[in-house]
Amino acid sequence: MSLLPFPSFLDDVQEKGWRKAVMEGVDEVVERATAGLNIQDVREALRGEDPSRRPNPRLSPHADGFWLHMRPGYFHKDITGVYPTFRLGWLSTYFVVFETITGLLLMLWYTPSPEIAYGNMLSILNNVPLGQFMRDLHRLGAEGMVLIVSLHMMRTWITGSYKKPRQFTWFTGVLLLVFTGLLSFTGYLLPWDQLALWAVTIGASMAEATPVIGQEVNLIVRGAPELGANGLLRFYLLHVLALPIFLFIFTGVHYYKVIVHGHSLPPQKENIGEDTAKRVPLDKRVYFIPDVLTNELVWIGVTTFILTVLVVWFYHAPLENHADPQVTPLGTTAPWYFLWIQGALKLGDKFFWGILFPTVVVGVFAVMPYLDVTVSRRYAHRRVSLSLAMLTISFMTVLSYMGLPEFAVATSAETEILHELTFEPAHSHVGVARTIPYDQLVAGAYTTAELGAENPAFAIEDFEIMVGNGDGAGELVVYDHDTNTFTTVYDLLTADLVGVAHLDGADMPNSFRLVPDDAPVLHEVLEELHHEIELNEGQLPHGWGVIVVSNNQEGLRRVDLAIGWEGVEIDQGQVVVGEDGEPVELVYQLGGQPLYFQTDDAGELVLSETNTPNLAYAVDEDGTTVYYAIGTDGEFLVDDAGNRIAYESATTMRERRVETDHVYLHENSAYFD
Amino acid sequence: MDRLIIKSIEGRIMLGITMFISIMILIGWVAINEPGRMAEFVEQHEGRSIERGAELFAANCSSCHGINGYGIGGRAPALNSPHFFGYDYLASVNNEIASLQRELVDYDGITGLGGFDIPDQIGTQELLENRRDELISQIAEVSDEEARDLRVELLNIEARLIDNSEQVAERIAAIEAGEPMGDDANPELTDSELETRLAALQSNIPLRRVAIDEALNGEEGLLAQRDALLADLDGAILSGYFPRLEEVTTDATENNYPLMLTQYLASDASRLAQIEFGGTVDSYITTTLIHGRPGSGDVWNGNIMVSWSQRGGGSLRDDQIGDIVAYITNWDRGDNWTIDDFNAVNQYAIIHAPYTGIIGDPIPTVGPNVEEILANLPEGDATHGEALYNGQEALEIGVPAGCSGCHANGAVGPDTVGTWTRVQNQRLTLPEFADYTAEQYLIESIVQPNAYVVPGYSSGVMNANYGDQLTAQDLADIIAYIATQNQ
Repeated sequence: MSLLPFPSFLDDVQEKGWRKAVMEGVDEVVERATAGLNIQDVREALRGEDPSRRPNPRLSPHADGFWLHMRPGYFHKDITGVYPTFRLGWLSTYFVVFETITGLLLMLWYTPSPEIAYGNMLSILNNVPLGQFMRDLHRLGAEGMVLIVSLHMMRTWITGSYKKPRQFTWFTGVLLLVFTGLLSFTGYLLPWDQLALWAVTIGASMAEATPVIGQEVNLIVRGAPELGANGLLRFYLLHVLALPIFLFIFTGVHYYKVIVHGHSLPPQKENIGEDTAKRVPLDKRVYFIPDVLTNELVWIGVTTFILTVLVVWFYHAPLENHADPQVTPLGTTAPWYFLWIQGALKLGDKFFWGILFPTVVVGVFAVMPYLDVTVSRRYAHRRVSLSLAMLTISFMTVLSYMGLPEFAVATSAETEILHELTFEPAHSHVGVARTIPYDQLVAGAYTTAELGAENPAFAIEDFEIMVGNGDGAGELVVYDHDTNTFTTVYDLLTADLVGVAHLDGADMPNSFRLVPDDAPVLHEVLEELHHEIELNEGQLPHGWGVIVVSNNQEGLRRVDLAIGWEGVEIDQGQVVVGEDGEPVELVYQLGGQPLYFQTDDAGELVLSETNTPNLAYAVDEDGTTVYYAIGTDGEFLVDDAGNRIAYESATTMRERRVETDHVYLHENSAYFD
Repeated sequence: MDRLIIKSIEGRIMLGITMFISIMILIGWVAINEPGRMAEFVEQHEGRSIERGAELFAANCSSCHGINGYGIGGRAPALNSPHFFGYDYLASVNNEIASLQRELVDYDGITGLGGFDIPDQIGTQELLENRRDELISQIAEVSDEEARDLRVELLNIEARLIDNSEQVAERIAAIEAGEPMGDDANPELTDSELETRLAALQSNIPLRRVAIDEALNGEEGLLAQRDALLADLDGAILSGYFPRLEEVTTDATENNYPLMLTQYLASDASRLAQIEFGGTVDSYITTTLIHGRPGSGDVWNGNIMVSWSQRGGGSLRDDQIGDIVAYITNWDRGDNWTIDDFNAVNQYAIIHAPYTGIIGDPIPTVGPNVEEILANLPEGDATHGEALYNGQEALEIGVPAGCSGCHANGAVGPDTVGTWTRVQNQRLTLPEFADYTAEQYLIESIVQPNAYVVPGYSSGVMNANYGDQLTAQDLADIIAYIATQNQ
């Protein structure tokens, strides 16, 4: 007889007493929630005791519950630890989930349009609490995921786990690796900064090399001849929709196959040709509940903690200047995991190395288990295969190194040095000239001549005499073809800084000074400039460096760096050596001929008024060299009788060259952080 | 089991919980620091924006507006200028003067200003005397206790009615010494009452009038100060800082000089007010960069402020426009502009000249047909052509051509120097100009500037209407001048 018109909990209470009734009720709820474990079972599991009930209730969540139905109830004890799987497959899955969560949060603040994408990034960084944190996690997670997935593949390769019956598992794994790479690559473009645009431009440049339909493929990939609004939208949709869908689907297939065939055991644990993964003896079993489950939860905690610590203190996702298709940054590289393709491209044909080679590499990987049908997974029996693996890994590493801008990209030394000192933040680095604290930017001109000199003040004076120092009283060693006069190095410097680089003429210093004692970083930068010039002495003979600091605005100063040297012929970044074993000097030329300047008996230049030199060509006549006077138009001069005028002696003059670069530094821009 | 790194399940649970709590603490810590970090980021970003703006300004703007933004005479106005940012050197002194003059009006009223009579305001002699009489009769009727406040008011009024400054001084001294005032029956004044009485004495009307007169008209008075300031700003009239100043000073012979100065100059002291722009300096710069300045060629001898934004067909992106705006507004010194800044400016902005209409018969111009022009081209005069080219003389139709504004340094259009040589050696060697003469090429370039654009320059930058501006003689002169550019 029920207390209420229908059977209820109160009947239980009446029958058993409320305490017992409640306990049983809770027990039942727990058992339903866990799909088979009652309170006692949970307690035992958490205490690490053996289950008291038979059959083992800890297996029922796998059989009856939704969440664990894909996980095996127990693992072989030889595969649960760090060795031999390193838990890399599991970590990959962790990153998939991690990237999805952080990515969804970032999507809230992002619009895929070139007009606003970069502004969105700024707003994520300066107006969204934890925005930078979330972005850093997402970016770091992406890099981590590529790394972990690659390592997972390498591990599987080396332990031979791709062999029968796991061929298809491996095949889907290769697909997942490709999807991972593409996901990371498409995400690269979304911030729409210089790094993004150019790294992706390089990556996408192969598309054009497709035979016959190159242009069409390029248009499909980029949405336009160059990356723009359409390209960004395509990459965005690939990144947040198409690729994740494929990734999720194939993750499912991949893991399903893993469960179907069981985790492969370390090769030495099995007899050759046997696959015992699905036949785990009772004494070798490690049950998912509680050991593997708690272990995985701990790994989630530890991995997330490591990632958090990294982004709090050590890692910030880079954000460079707004993407600018007009400005190609020096030393652009593809993302590190595609460096091997960039390196391969330097080997030759764009189609062969850029498209065929990567396709073949991935293709061979994908079908490898069907090609390598040897039965044994033992290392000793796989010498050829393992050697090939090591060779491939080495080859990829070398190719990746070759992808770096350091390798075989011929940039002239002076451009390289100035870039090195002034470049905007990129790849987590910044040119040292930008790191000079604002209060150390003391207006004035400084020269590398003071460095290493016994008496820096005298050295500066000598330098001033050498360059001419603004008062025109220096050595007249620069030939100006436009005016047919000799000027000083200082004039050359002024022409470059004021005429080309828009330095205010009033800021052109008339004298050089010692770096003040309270400007140590400025001094360091000067030393760095000096050091770099000395390192490249071959390309920059008699090189010197100058730093000019000037005030531009309230809170804004300008730093000009200049390198001067005497011309020497350079080809592909190498000094050209002549027959005598000496570098080929560059001399002033006219119409492709060395230009001679008349000298007197003492070998001094003969100058007319206003420093105008008398020019000549050297002409070989009967084995002797005759110097015939020429005009600035390159035509021989003739006297009244119509005969060529000859000079007794003349000399060539080595070209003086100057290269400059500059940065503006605002007091708040804080590059030195 | 052996290979699980942490063997005991308790250890795993402990570690898991520790990790979870640590992550929460870290995120909390990051979250707490977010406002500071974001503020720092904004500051840093603005700094870098200014740096990029400096670079863009130097590369794109400095050739016309000057490397320091002081403008270039006859070419483009200053941006680094007090006028541009609306700093009015006269504002503070004008305010003081106006305030004193208003006080005088309060005392005396004013007749005839703008056709109105303004009566004097409360505080005039008569009103005060009436109130005094009223108070005296009231005090007589009420008890001592109640009369106290009335007495204080009465004393105040009496203090203001004294018209002798010596008496005022005596009474101030007496009050400060704590002596009772007059026949006050209750002399224990509180501090605030004491202050009220002193203030009342000091605002003594006749005395105050003398003080105001001194402050306005004294040797170092405000009017003298303003005159000195105006003398400092004298160049302003020429530079266009106060373009209507002359007009004002002519009218100023009338007695309302100061008032008119205030009214007229308020609209001229700021560039934005001068051209009646309703937004901020930021938006003014932005909109100018985006749309250019239609009509600027008329004012600046043919130098056109073109659209720089990609939105208007220019070359710069929105963020770059923002960088330039950040750089230019960084010149604003707020209230710290000095006369030196004023004098550093090379060229102030100019107000458009009013349209005067066509006078006399239309002047025949050459039109756009190259063959026709070539057939009827008279002999040119290179000297006159040079003057036309550089905008020193107006074309026959009365406007300057100012070719050199753009054809300089090669920044906007090809450099003037060496034009003839380049035409001969480079252009005429191209297949499309195979049967051209140099004159023909130049005429086509002038009257049909977009027919061929020298590589490296943009189409549509040069005005396409020179055919409607040049007479045959003007054109011949200019070409004769260009023929001298054979360096």
